[in-house]
Amino acid sequence: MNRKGEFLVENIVFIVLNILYLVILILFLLKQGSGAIILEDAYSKNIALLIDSAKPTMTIHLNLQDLKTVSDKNGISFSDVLKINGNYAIIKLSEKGGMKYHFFNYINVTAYPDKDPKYEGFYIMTFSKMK
Amino acid sequence: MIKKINTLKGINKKGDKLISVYWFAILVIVAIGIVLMVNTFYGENYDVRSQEAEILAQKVADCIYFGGEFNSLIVNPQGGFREDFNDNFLKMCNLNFTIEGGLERPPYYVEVGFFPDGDLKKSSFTMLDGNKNWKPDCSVGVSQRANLVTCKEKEFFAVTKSDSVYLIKILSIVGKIDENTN
Amino acid sequence: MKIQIKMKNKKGQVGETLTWIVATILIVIMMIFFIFGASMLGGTKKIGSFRPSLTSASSFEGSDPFLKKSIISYLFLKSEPKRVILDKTLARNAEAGNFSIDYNQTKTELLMRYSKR
Repeated sequence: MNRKGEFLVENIVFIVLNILYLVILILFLLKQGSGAIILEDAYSKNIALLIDSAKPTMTIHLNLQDLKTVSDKNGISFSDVLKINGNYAIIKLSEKGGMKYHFFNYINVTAYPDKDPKYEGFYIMTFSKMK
Repeated sequence: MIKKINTLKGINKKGDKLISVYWFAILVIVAIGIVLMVNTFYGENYDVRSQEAEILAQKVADCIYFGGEFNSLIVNPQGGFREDFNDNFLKMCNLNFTIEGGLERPPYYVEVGFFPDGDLKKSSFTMLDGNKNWKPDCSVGVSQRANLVTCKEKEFFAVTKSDSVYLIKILSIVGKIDENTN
Repeated sequence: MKIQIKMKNKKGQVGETLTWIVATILIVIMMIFFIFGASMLGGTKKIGSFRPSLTSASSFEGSDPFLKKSIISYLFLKSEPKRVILDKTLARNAEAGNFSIDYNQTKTELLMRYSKR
């Protein structure tokens, strides 16, 4: 009789440990996929290409809600997430992180978070001719 | 008469310990494999230079010829090309190839050739700017291109007011190898 | 009289061990293939394929401004012989697959647009 009880407990423990192992692996995978470094790389390049394509008097409304989620978790203010400095588009999602990408368009760019509560997590980029 | 029988369970305990060692080893191997796979995949940078070179070529093309007309700063009233445009090419086309605060060479190169009547043997005018040293890399085969620059060649036909047809070839090169490759 | 019967199952244990060794080797080989595949896939990463993109794919594909410039030049040409030569050259380039959009359709659209002026 004892054998049956031990057999069942052993198998249950074995299955539970395996499930735990798989869960840990899946969480690791998901964490890597939405990592700050990957987002910084993708968005800094995307935004630099947008700036390259832009012309004076254009306004671009950017959806950076993905970045806001990560920056909030890492304690970075949303107004510091995107900065344009000296022909570089800079995305910063963590204290020690940050990625920049150069753009070749000779244009004046202003980027700031959208204050409209309906568009939380959005940025507005305006373009004007360089003086 | 005493019979002592060692049960199967007694002997199997050793077998169980051996099996769990192997099982543990496989779990570790699989975990290491998955970590390596994830790091390999996500560690690779996005390579946007192809789109970037395309945008650069389009910008230059729009600067030279737009709406069926040449830029008046390139072509003089007599229909010839102005040399001073070549000297101020980047500024006149609103391009900035300089990396501010750095001594490194510009990560771009643009060359524009004007061929009358589409005759590739004679170029009546050439404009170029950027890092010229990358041009030879464009002729390297695809299999060896992994860590080289990205080149785009675009061409189109343009017509002047005097009804002269020109084939305009634009070569745009984007370096930025470190930011786009591993 | 004491009788001891020992049941020996050593053959079964050896069998199990061999199975596990083979399984381990197979798993290691599969892992190597998967890691190689992951590095290959990593090289094909494009913004917009694996990440939500800020711009749609048609920002960079689906239009050919260079072909449009050429067709506009064709429309603005006054000399008929030159138009014929240019048309033939463009048609030849279209057949060679040098354009990313349909040459004849684009030419028809631009002809309609500019003939209304």
